[in-house]
Amino acid sequence: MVAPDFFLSRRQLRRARIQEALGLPRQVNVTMHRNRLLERLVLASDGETEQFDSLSEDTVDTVVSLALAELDESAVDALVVVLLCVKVLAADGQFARLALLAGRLRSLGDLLQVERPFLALATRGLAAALQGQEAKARRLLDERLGVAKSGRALSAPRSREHANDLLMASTIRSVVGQDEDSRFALRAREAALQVADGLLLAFVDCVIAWHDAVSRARPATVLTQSDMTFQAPGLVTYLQKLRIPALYAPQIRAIQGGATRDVDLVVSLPTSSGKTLIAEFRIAAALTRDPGSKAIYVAPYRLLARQVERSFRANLGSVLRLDVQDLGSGFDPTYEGDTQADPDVAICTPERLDALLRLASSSRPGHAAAAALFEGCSVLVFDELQLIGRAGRGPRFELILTRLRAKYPSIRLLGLSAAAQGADDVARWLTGKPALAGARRPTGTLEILWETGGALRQRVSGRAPTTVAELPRKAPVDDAAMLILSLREKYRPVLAVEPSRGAAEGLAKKVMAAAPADGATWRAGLSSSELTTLSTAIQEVKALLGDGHPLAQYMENGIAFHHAGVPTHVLQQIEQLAAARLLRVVCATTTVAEGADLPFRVVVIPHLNFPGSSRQLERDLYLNIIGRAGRANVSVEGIVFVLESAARTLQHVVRASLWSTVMRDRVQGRLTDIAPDPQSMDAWGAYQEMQSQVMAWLGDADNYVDEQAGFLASKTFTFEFGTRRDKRAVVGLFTQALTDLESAGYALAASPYRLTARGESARLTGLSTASVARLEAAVDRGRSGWLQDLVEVDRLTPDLAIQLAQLLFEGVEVFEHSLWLRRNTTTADAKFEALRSFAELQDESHHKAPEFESDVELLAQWILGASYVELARQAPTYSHANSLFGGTVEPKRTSDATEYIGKLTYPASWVWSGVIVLAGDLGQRLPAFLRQAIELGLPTEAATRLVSQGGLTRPAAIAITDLAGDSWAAVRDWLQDPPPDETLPFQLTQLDLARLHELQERVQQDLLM
Amino acid sequence: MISHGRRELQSLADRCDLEEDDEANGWSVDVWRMDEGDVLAAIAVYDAVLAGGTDTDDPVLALLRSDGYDLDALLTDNGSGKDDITRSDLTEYVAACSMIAGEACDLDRMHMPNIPKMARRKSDSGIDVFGVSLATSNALELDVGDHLTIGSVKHTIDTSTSGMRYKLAISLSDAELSAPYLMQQLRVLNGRLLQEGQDRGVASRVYLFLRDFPAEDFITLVGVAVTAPDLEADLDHHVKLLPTVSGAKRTFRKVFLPGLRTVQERCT
Repeated sequence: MVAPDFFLSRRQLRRARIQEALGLPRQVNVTMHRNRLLERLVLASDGETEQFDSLSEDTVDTVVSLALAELDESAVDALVVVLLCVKVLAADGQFARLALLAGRLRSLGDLLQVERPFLALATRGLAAALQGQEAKARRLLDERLGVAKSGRALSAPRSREHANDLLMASTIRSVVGQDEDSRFALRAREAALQVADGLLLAFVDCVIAWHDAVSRARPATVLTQSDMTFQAPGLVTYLQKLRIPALYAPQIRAIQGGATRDVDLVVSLPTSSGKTLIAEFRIAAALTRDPGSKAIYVAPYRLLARQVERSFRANLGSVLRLDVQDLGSGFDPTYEGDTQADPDVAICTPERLDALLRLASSSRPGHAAAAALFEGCSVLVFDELQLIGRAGRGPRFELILTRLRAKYPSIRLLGLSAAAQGADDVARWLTGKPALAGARRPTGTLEILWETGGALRQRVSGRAPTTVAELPRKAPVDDAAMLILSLREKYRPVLAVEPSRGAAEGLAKKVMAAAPADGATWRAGLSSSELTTLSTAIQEVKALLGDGHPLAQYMENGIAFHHAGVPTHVLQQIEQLAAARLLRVVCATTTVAEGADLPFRVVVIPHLNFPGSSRQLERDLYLNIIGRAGRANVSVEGIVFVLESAARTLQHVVRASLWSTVMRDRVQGRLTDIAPDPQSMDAWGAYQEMQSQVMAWLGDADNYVDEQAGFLASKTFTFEFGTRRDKRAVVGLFTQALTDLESAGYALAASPYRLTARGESARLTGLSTASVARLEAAVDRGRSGWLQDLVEVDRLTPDLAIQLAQLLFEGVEVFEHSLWLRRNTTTADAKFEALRSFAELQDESHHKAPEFESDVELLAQWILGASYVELARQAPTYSHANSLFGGTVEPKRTSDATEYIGKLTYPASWVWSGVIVLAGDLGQRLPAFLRQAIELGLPTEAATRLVSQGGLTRPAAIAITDLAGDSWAAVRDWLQDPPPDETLPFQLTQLDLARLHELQERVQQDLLM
Repeated sequence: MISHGRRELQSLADRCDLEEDDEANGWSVDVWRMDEGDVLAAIAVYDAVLAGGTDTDDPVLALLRSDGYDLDALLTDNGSGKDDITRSDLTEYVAACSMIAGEACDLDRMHMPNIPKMARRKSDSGIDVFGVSLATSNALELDVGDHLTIGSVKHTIDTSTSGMRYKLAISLSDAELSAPYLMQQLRVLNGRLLQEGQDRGVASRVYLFLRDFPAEDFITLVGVAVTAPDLEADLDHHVKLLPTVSGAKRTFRKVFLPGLRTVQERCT
């Protein structure tokens, strides 16, 4: 007899799942292929595994395929298959997949309720246990089995079959809750064999396997075995309160490898493996071992930082009473004054970390606190470490870490990296040993390429892609919209990742237009509480963006876009709706694609022309993007659809790069990408950034050595793991930077180089030297005039706002986003030339141009509190409808305003921080709220506090301060005795009202000074 | 593994005298007309294997009792159920013996998942008798020496055998012998083989029977219909109505047991 082609059967079942997801007619004999694979399942179920995560990929694929195959068959037949799948996955410690199979078990239990109530009960009890709800399972079983006094007990078994079913219920009950003893289950297994009941045997085997696995994977068990610190009373309580029934195999491996101990370590885990929890354990242990010490968590994305802060506050904050604070995301070289207290756990972006590093080795106010933060830091966690190898921010991260290791070698480092991207070299660089790696992703991914010819081809490991369906292609955005709308309800929300903000918004618009009636159908399926949640979020979006903004209309139809140009409050609403599955699709840039833990089951990538030096979607970004599909707690597997591009330069991207099997993933240093003689805007920015880091290093101390360029280079990752040529390039780059710094007056070649006084200031700003030069001149011009007028103001006047905006546009980092530059240059080369002229103070013609006047006016109005709608009305109108502020359609112009302002606020607030430094003593006297005034678009001190500390939206903060006063003292007094809500002369959204009430309570309890 | 009454079982099997009958719609048909001596031998089997069996011997019920469950309701005899169960158990042993004689099943490799039923009704249907032989090959393919005989047994004391024939045909159909059902039965078989000390590799060979089930050269399906001799003509008529089958060998076995309606009264 010829051995069956199990590979073919697995492939066919995957094909069936994809067809089902897209709502296509089933073209696969699912029954035949399912049955064929049962042989593999049953053999796997009898296999003995000592270690978690030791199943082959083929076996996991087989089990997942079987568990997900829904056939028209008896519930008992379906149940026995799922039970054996559970047994196999449990023995391998695949808890994420197990939790997701609980739903399938529960639905089978429902089908058995009438005929076999005890079997239904046993199945539900097992389902609850698999989801980590053991106490709930125990309560349910106690009540229904009549053990508990209360509750509705099932009537006694009436048949022998019911007696066997009762034994199943009794068996699962014996291992959940308090008893935790498998002896009864083992006896039940003997009985099952004796009475030859295959279903009973499968159930009991499943329970035994799960119980054995979960006993080995309990956080307390794993942690106390690996790290004695977790036997400390505080941590024992912490672990008891931690509602995590079992750790995933990758987490166990990391902990057993020393992730919580005081060692330098890089942990390389698959996406969705729970890296944040490992960091939390490490921080809990480190701060327990060394009470009073600090922890710093570096998150490279704002969304990730928000998620980490929420997660840490829940456990480290509420249980261990550690003060967890987000120190912010932008470059801000201040420390005291922007936080209420010295945090135990500081969360920040690499840019904020950089600013604090520079501050710590300066003599500016706040330097002592910043230095204390680093000197008292027992562990620094650097998340998404693989980004060192990414063009753009990679060199910055590499040099920040180089400086950190040189300046504070005693800080223990825990690096977290995505597993698929080969972080061993980075790990060796930072820790002297390879990354602690291994273990598969807790859930799987099906990758589909939709070819331009119409074939949907599935990626198959080690083999050629296979066709799963045929659908004709048109244009990418139309195809993506059609694909998204084709997906069945259970596959939503869908994440579509686009290369630009415009593309993300365009796709949202296309989805909306493609099936306008779908929104009403979708809303009709929501519960009243879900509708309330949705409308509350939309109310907030309207308050921020105006009633006519398309995003509000999209959201009413379950569609959203998410990118850095969208206000933070709106992004948070979108994230919360997506988390609650109250959206059908989120069209986003990489803001969501990297690090976000949201319940997307399907990811669609319509375009491959992503920004960056290669102008295409890079493999490491792709791996991160597909990690968003089907995360743990979402689905057993995710599906990724990539639309093949017809463009000549992009048509081979998927097979040659994204799906390449020959390409070895290895994070590489990107310093060699930086040209010492930049010839484009991107290259110029990269060189300036590198130069700023070299300047920072010169001021970090401990660099009084000969051959500084070579010395610094030798500490970098690019140098250490580069070729000879790479090494020479890095040394040459730093030599050039030092020479340029000297010639510009920032450094002195005094064998070795040292910073001049000017260099010391410039270093603290973190800005490009070109910006510093322009800002120095601007500050000098305003020093005895309008800048003096700013001192002690608590509200910005229109005149001051204009002056402020003019000053901010002196920064190259702000100017490069100006309307003037957009309108007066048409090619990339022209833009670069214009920017270089601006940077080198060679051309000041922009000052007289109407576009630049608009730039200044719009930024000033933003700071004064103008809404996006008002900004859109004030902006010039251009004829080309697709250009920024082109056309007269108000929603489009409002969207343009959010995009325009969104690009300005981050660099503008950074530039303002630089101004404070460059202004010297005057800078110290300038109001602290101005940075947030620029970033948040608020004209008063009180309003910035209401937003930053109270979480209120911008319109609400402005309305309250208009009523209560401009100073925080005045608003605090008002909050002590506020008028009733209904008497407020303005309308707040429900969310703002709730935030206001919470703020009132905190003020009344003296929790806010 | 049948552990009790082995001598009596073999003795009854030795008495089994099967006569071939005309094929019907792809089914091989044979018949065993039992005489009084055969019936006495069958009763001896029943008495040897099951006599004196009580519910306390049932491991499931014992375990449930130890866990504090009151099973009085379950143990309440439901009228004529006990007679029916006794007859069922007895006829299943008769069928098993016919498979030793007819299909050359090895008594040491036979499994009867549905008995002992003892005093309690067991609604489990499906396969009543497994006869398995396994090759010692390490190759993960069915080989010479691998064979699985599946027996389904029904009896009737009605005046017509129509229902019995229908149920037997159904019980050996693809729908009833579904792959998941077979898989769970084979897991039990595997577990029992391991309990008996069988090598894990050899015991795992039982799962190969799942391949293209029922594989023509490695599987035999036997439907055993037991009734009183006075229904022979009726049964002969209904055998002609068996569904047409192809592939694996299927045997329809007619067993005529004198005094079937009251045979339970002669058991201990």
